[in-house]
Amino acid sequence: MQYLKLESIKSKHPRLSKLIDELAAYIEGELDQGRSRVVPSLAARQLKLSEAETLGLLAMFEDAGLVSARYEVVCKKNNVVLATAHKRSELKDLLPIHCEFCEAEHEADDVSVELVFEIVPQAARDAVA
Amino acid sequence: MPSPKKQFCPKGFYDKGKEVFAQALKIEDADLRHEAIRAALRYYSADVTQDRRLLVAIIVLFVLVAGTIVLAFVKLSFFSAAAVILSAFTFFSLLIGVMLRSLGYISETSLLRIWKESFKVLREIFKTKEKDG
Repeated sequence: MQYLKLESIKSKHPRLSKLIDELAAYIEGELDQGRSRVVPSLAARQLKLSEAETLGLLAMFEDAGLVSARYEVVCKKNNVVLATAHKRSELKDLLPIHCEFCEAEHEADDVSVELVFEIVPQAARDAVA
Repeated sequence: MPSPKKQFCPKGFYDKGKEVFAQALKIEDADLRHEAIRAALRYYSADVTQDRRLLVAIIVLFVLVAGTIVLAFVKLSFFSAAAVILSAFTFFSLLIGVMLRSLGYISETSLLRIWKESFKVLREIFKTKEKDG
């Protein structure tokens, strides 16, 4: 069933079949290593694509329900994820945010925001099975 | 008044958006380019609601200023009308300043500076008007 989702992406974008398969394999690899999210910059490096190309492919996967975008608020000093939001409009309500590692309230300048894609586990597994 | 905490995202996030957007424009495959641009816009999309609120408020204020200009030129002499228009612009700038502050775009210090400078302008206008009168 989910395999059909991957096939449906490829049928919509036949020229991108190779890249779609590579990203699907990458996602499967991440799941195998116990990771539940795809960081576009890391995936781009692995797949030897630009970050924009990777984001474009991930957007297609998201439309198919294989991944789901979210924003992570990361403490710049300790590089730890402090909170996540599914919509960017929710980010402003998170600030100022308390960081247990720094024992401080962080404002926008103290944190970075990363766009990542949460893997929908079963859907992704089925898609690459 | 609360601090301007609605400053939403670190500047680096927007820079990243710009960078991704520029990369997206260079993608040769049209489908992938379209998807990449759509994805790059995620770095900007959340503030649309707020920007729209701001835009509507600015349009309303602009209409009020435009109305004041028309009315002033119809009812008053040229120089009085010019003074009224300058005052109106200054006053509405102050309102925009308050609006920007309440939306969290500027700090209290910036707002106070705007008010201070605006009052200076208003004082000069009224001084000139007193001299003319």
